[in-house]
Amino acid sequence: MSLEAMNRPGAPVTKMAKIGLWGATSSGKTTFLAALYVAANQSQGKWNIIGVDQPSVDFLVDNTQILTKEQRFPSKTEGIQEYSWTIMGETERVVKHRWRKRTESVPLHFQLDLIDASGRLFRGKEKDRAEEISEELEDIELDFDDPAESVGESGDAFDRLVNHLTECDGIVYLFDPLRENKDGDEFHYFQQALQNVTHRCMQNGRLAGRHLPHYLAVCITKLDSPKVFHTAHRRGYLTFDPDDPYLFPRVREDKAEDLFRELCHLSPTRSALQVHDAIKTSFAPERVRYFATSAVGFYLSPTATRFQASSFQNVIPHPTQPGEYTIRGDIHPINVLEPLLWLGQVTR
Amino acid sequence: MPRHEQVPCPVCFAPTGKDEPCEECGWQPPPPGTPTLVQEQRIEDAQRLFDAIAAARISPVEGQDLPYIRGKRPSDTEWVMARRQARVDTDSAEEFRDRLSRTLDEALDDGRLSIVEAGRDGIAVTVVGVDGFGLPQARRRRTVPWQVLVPMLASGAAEELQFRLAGGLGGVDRVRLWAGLERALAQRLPPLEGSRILPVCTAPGWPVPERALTMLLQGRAQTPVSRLNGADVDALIAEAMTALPLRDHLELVVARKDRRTGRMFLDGIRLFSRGERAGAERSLTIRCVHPHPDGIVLAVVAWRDDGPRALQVGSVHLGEGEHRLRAVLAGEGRIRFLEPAGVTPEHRPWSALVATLPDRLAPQITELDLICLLDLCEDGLTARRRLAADFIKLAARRLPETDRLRVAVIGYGRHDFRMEAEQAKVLQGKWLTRPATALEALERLRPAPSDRIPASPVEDALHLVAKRLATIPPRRKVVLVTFGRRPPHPPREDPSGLLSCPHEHDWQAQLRRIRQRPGLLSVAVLDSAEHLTPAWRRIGGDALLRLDITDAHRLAAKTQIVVPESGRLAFPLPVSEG
Repeated sequence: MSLEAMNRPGAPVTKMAKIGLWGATSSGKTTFLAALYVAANQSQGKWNIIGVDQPSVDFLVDNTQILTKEQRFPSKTEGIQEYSWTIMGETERVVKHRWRKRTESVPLHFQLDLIDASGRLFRGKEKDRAEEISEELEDIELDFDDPAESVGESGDAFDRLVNHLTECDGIVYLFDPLRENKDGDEFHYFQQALQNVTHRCMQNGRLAGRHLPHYLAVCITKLDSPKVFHTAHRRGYLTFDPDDPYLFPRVREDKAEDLFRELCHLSPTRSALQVHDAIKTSFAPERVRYFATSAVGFYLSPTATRFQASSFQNVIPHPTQPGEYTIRGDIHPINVLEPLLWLGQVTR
Repeated sequence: MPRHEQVPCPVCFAPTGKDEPCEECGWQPPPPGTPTLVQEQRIEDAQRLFDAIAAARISPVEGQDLPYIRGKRPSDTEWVMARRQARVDTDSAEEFRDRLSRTLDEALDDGRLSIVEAGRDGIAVTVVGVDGFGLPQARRRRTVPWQVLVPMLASGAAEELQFRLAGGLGGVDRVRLWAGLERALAQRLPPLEGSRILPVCTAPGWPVPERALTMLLQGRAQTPVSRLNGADVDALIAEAMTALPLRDHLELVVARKDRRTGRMFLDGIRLFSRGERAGAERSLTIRCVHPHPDGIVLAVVAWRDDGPRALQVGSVHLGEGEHRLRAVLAGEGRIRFLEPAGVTPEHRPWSALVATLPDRLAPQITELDLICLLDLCEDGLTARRRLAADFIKLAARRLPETDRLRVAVIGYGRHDFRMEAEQAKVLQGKWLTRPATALEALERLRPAPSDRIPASPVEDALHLVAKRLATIPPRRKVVLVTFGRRPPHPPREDPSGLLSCPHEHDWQAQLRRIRQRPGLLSVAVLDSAEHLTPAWRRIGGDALLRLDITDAHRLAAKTQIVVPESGRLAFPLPVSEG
């Protein structure tokens, strides 16, 4: 179905939404996208997601298989991958009559153009220390991550990434608190891209006052990990959706930003606190929303009928493959579809 | 008749009145008009007899030929007369010993007794008093020789001095002699004030020793002088002291357990009572528990106001169990053990012996169930398995009888947390069985590959133990040893990220159940200190050991299967305790 056909009078409300995915290396961008199809399927028929082109269809098929059948995580993205999906569902609309208003459900279709870029690209054009060492030791054969990416190639890719983010209507920014807790370099990744996008928007006259024009969904990933879960639990940020048959915990919408700050405090360098400040500086407050997400969700044992706080970890070290992790049981994505739906709705 | 001027007696040279009979030797001056030759012959005969008497006191046989007898050698008739006159009534050794015993018994109640012996060589003083143990102790002072006491008699050979002491005092100025002796006695003899004196003369009838004793007794309560011929006074004193009745009870030191606190303390059980005499015999039964490798101390003490005092400390190697002890009172404060044989004097100081007493008595194990839990993680399994095997073998040697020792070997591998595998069994091994079978089971345990999950199903093993403990009879002692590496999985997942047990076992709850069994010991042996976690501190509540510095003996000591050196008892127990 073409967009033209979909926008006929009486046809579903259809919108093109160009969404960028932003996150540091290993923050779970690809896994987030891979969980989309499962999340749509578990929406009890409210939403469906369809690939617009063959690579996008293949991505959903392959990665859903990897997550649910092979119970492992997708390989990390090399360079920049572009995907285009149509999300179909319903939304509520206020209809005005002569003397009263009423809410009615109307179909909503929107197209997501997403790019999934290697996390390393968000660090910009600078060479990293490994590359410097590699040059110093060129006579010694050493393998490093992404060996094919020369400085020149990564510079071009970074320009493409910045252009893409500049042109996006909305951005999903993935913040991995575990990675930040370990490496403490989140701000370094974030500000490289942010500075360039801001600069490009200013050149293009797209700045809305002092803010970027984008909507930003800040997604705190890995809610299923003990550290994030227990931080949220300890602070009383958790709730559950009564419509959820398994009563999986979720972070209250009004507390997601507080959780973000709590987790920033756990960082050894506290660089993530600067990310929070930079978001408040660069984005209009009404265009930013925080989500606590988990691509694989919490573990549910075969004998359990609902979530059990005593045994919730769904990601475990692989028992036989050194260095690998495996997904323990079924996946139950949390807040994977919601950021995109929000962006889809607000960017109409 | 007024006394006239004193002149020396022409026979004995004792001062006497002129032309008056001599009071000492009985010389009768010849009537006036007696021819000079006759007078001279009478004097010569009297001098010879006087000296012969002294010589007869020295030796009734050889004295006749002594060269110091004035005039010619005495005739046989004269010698018989001299011997007759030299004879003195003496006491027998038995009479003296009885008298000494009686005097000691009276004197020691409130003081000391000084036995003053005047003999051929000099004067010796032996002081007998009561020591700190309440026992009589004799201390013999050095003999003061006659050469010191009467130097004017000692100008010649020793044989001549003996002759003079025995009465050959012809030509000796008596006034000077006795004055010098009195002075010398005061200066040279130890002070005798404050003690009762028992005089004894072992040169009976010899004028100088007799005179010395008389001088020493001047001003004191009349105490008759005992005269002994050829007796060993020291030996008689020793015999008399030995024969004295016990002045205090004598007790054997034993270890006892305080019924309220369970702490060990030293006490005494009566061996001999006050009033018992040498030769008394007593037998009793003692019990040895965890006997000390250096032997069992048989210490005899007397109780004084400030506590027990060890009189005699011996030791003997005795095995575990009851032993008959037979002791005989060999004399005041001396005990001879007839049984057990081989008691030797103990040379360790008493304080060191007392210090060996353990605070508590390690329980005696008669029936033991040993439960060994092993982490089957392949890293370090060889060492864990080796120590467990050594430990089981040692316990089997300690309790070799059938059924006294049963061993369980339970290996725990790892949880597979993948959903399809999480209910898989994680335990291998054999529940309580014979040691040999357990060792075979230990050998057959299959290692579990290492993974990155820093916990292991200890809780499953504890669950099994808790469940099966109830089937073990209460009389059997249970020792739980966990040869661990990774801690147990928690019952709930916490911020540490440790995965909870998929079988939902709570190690703390299981451990509490296990701990409810009276007397159970739970010991953990960890691969290294880096594996120590709060969980291990609780599981190894009775002892926490490091695998790399622990051998089977140390482990057996910690689990009280063998008693550690510090828990060994050097003292016997009364039969009713332990």
